[in-house]
Order: sequence, then C-alpha cells, then structure tokens
Amino acid sequence: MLINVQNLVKRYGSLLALDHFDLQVSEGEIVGLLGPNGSGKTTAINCILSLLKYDKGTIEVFGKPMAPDAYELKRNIGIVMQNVAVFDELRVDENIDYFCGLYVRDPGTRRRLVEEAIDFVGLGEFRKFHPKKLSGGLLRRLNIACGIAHKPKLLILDEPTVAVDPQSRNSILEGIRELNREGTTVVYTSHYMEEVEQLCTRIVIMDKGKTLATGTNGELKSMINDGETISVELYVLQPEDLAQIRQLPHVTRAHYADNRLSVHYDGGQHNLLRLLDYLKSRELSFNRVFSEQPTLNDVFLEITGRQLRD
Amino acid sequence: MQVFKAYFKVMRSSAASIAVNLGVFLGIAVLLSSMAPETAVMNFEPTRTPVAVINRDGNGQLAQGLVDYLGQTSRLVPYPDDPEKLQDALFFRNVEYIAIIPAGFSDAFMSGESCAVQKVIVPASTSSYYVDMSINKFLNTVRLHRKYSGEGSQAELVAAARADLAFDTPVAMKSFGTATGGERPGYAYYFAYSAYALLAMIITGVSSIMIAFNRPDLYLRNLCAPVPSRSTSLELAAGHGVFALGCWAILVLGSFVLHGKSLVASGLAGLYSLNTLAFAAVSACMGFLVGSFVKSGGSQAGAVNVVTLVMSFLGGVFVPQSVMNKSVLSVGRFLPTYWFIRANDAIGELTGFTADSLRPIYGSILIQLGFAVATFSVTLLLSKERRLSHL
Repeated sequence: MLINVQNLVKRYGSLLALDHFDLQVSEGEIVGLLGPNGSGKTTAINCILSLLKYDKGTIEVFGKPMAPDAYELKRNIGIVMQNVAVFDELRVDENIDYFCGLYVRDPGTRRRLVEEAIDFVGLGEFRKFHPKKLSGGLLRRLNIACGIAHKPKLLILDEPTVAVDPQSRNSILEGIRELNREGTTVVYTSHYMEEVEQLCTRIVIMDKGKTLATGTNGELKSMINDGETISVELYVLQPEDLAQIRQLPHVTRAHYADNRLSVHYDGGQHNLLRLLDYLKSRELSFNRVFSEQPTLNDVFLEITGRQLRD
Repeated sequence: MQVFKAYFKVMRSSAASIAVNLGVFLGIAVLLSSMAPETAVMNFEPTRTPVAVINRDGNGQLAQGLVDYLGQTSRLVPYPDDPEKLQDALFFRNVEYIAIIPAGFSDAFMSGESCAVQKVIVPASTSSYYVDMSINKFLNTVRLHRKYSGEGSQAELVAAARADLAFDTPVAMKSFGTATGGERPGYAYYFAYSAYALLAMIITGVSSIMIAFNRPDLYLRNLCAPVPSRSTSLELAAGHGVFALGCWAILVLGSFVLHGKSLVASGLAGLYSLNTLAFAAVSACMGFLVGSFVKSGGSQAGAVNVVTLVMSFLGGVFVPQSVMNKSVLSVGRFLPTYWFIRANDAIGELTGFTADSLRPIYGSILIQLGFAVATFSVTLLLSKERRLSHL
C-alpha cells in the first residue's frame, strides 16, 4: 500500500473539513478524488503531505508514518499543486532545474531529468521563457514538469487542469497516463467528473470531508438504480400516453416537458426499441432521439441529492 | 545548495532597481566630490588683496613706510591720483581697496594730532578688512614705539616697527582626519551618504528574494521537498550575506576610486569600511524584515522608499546631526542610521588612534550590530509563527 489514510479528522475551528476520512492507494493505481469544491480534497492532500496538522487519524506513505521531517518519503513523492507554484523570476528550464534539484543532487542526472521533463510536457520551444510569458495551459504544463522531473514513485496532482483549454487538458491527461504506464502511482483530485472517468482506475467520491463511495467507474455506476436515460423530442404527448410509457418494462420514471420526453431505466435490454415501437403504434411523430448512460454526477446525485458541480 | 543557487537567479529581477540606486548614489557622490574640498590643503599662502595707494604726503617718511609695509602684505597696483581712473579700477575690480594718505599725515601723526588714512573699497568686500588690519597694525606699532621708546625720527620709528612686523607666525599643515582644516572631506560625505545607498540596494534585493520564496504556493511547494526548512533558511541567509557583502564591497571600492589618495592619507579607510560593513549587516536584516511583511513588488517599492528615507532623515544621513532638532535626534537614537552617522562623524573627527578616541566609534558599531541581531531575531520569530500557522 503506497498510501494508507485511516480515520482522518481535520477541523478548522468549528468547521469539520475531514470527517473520519479513509483512503487506500495501491502501487500502479490512478486514484481519483472526486468531489465538489469545498468537499475536502485539497485538505486531504495537504494532510497526506504533512503540510497541515490534523486532529485525529493516521497517515502512512510507503508503509511508514508521514511527518514533516520524513524526507526519505518526500524524496519519492511528486506534487503538482492546485495553484501554479513556480518562480516568476526564473525561466522555464531554471524552474524545472530548481525543483528537480531539491530531490536530485547529482548535476549530470539532474540535467538529464530536466531535459526529459521539458520534452515530456512539450515545453522545448519555451524553455527560455519566463512564466509570465506563458499561456494558462503552458503554465500548467510547467507546473506539472516541476512536479514530475525527479521521477517520483508517487505523484499527487491537485486539480491540475483548472482553467486549462481542452487541448492542453487532453495533453495533460495523456501525459499522466504515460507516467502511470511507466510505473508511477497517481492520486488525482478534480471536480471534473469527465476527467476522472477517463483517467482513473479507481475513484473515491467525497463530500463534506467524508468518503461517500469508492470503486471503479463501472462499480460506482452499478451502485445506483439508474441505468440509461432515453430522451425523445415530441411535439405532442397526451397524459395517458405518458402513463402508458411509465408502464413499459424497466422504466423507473418518465416525464414530459418542453417538447421533450425523458425516460429513465433501471437496466434491461432493447429499451429504445420498445419505446419507439410504442410511439409508432400511437402514431406519435418525433424528431431526434438521445440515449445517455449514467454519469458519476448521477451517482453523486443519487447519494447526496445534489449535483456534483453545485 | 539549490536555494542558494536560485537566490542569485531570482535576484536578476531586482538588478535594474538595485543598479538605479547604485547609479544615483555614485552620481551624487561624484558630484559632491567635485564640490567638496577634496584635496588636502598642504601649503599655506597668505591672501594678498590688490590695493592702490595714493600718497599725498610726498615727503613724509612715515607715510612712505606705510606704503612699503602695505607692499609686503598686499599687492600694490600703481594708479595715478585721478578719481575717475580710481573709480574705474574699483568698478572693474582691478583693485579692491584704495588707501589715500592725506598731505601732512606723517607730521600730524608724529605730533599726536588726529589723522586718518582715507579708504575707498568695493562694497561688502571682506578682503578690505585684511587691509584695514594691516594699516592699523603698522600705525599702532609705530605709535607704541613713539610712546615708549622716546622721541625718535620718523625713519627710526618706521625701521623699528618694520623690524617688529617682520616676524611671521609659521603655519605648518598636518594631514590627519579632517585634513581640510575643519572642513569635512569628500570621503566623509561619501560614507555618510552610503548609508542611504546601502539601505536602498540591500533592502530592495533581500526583500525581493523574501517575497519570491514567501509566496504562499511556492512556500508550501518547498515544504513538500525533502529539504529541511532550516537548511532552506540557512541557504537564504547565506545568500543575503553574500549579497550584502557584495554591495558593501562595491561602495567601498567606489570610495577608493573617488577619494583613494586622501582616504589612504587620512589613515581612516579601515574604520570607515568597518562602520559601513556593520551597517550593511543592519541593512540585510532590515531587508529580511521588510521582505517578511511585504507580499508584492508594488508594495515592496513603497516600503523600501519609506523605510530608507525615514531612517536616513531621522538618523542624520542627509542633514548633519549637529544641526538637527534635539527631539528628532532623540527619536533617531532608536534607529541604526543614527549610530552609523555618529560613528562616521566620530571617525572624521579622530585626532589619534587612542583607546579613548576609538571607544565611541566601536560603541556605535556594536549598537548597529545589536540592531541587526534584534531585527533578525524578530523576523525569525515571525517566520516561525507563519510556518506553524500553516500546520
């Protein structure tokens, strides 16, 4: 177990930021901490990194207790902070060299690692730029390069794609996958469910400092009753037709509003075929048809009654 | 040594403002050195005022004796007894003093009657006083001999007076301390003003570094690294020390470039350098303190100006402490600049390297170092508080 957090409690005055929070991360995983803003993700990461004192619980990293002076443990951890943490006064290559040098003393090895990190994040042509000259996406890439240059065994990324354009975001996510393929275990916090769905091998959904659910993407979705949702654009639908649709197999609920019929299922097969057959049999003309699989937001909604991005 | 190496790379961003401070200071120093009585006065030569003497007492030996004596103490310029030409001579400053010896002056003087040498002078001329003094001195000496040596001829009395007045007081110029004979030499001003330059340069540089390393995200990021906080602090302190030493070296080097000859001749270069070194240490600690409070470059510039100017004015950097208000000086005592200037002035007034004369200088230097230690300790305490507040 690379990270073992048990029963962690952290209070900010009367506010309970972490409420008996548990987290286990095994070697080779990409674990996503998913939760809305203020759910305690960053607090949990800061406690794991010994940047924050906590009130109760235990934190072990690489099988040893984590502490502010656990320098041997820190040597194998890479961190990409939520806010870009680089020197505005140093160039791109100097920034990466600085942070790499905090972990790697040998100048030759460091030079090689810095070059590899620059290549990895694709900042080669910007190496002599100062951070203020970089776009938001490039700045995030620099932030990541500073965190991974020393080739850590454990990489913690705290919302590394906030305010990043889609192209840079995809580049960052692909980079993280590649690092994982090379053997780095990753802990990734985000409130973007799409990112977590795409990237993580295991997901921890948290809210109000608690772990709500843990599992793979599929496992989490199977926890809820909702299966697929089929939406149909209809100009007219009589209440008796809506009542009949609700009687179709596996339908959990159905409603009609703004010329759109939404039908939710709890599973089953050929649901779309059965619905269209019914509409044809009633000679109801329709336009576009959509079929949506449940998302992590549906999981979150099911568990908490709130949207993930509230 | 990663932090130490990054120190001077981060410092590059402040290089311009540091260079401006240094440039302004050196510019002022060069200007002052050209105005100050820089070269030590090594020779004495009495001033000779240009004088025209109109002797209307043609046969009087006393009058002639006076003319001869004035020829020794002043520079006689021959002019005819023509009022228009004499006025022109005064107007064009060819002469600054016209002495008119009236007819019968010698006989009247010998008989004790009232008589006077008439004069026409350039308005508000100070040199005319010297000529007045010469005339009075000659006539008083003659009067003295006439009174106490019995009745003698005019020639005898003039000869006796001339013999008395032939003695000059020897003037020997010695170079020590204020070698300009009471005037503050150029290097004393240079070292006094260097307080401002040191404060401005060092606070700017050190606080820039502190602002960069104290930026909350960077601070936390550095805490994640396998480097003890103490090690980071020590490397930063070493960087501050090297930077302050560099600034001090540049200013001391500047003093030798501008005032090298007179500074070396005075024998005070070591003491001035030591005093400035102590103040460089104070400046570094002040920068450490300012950098701990200031969060951005904009507020840094304001803080540096306020701290530097307030300390300089209240400490007597720009205005001599001797002319400063006592209540201002009593406030200034709580500032290291006051003690720097006090030591600087004491060095300039040294008349010998005795323990008694050096004691106040070393005392002021020690007080400056005390300020440095106190400022450093307070800043460390504040830093520790902030570090703990993160945990």
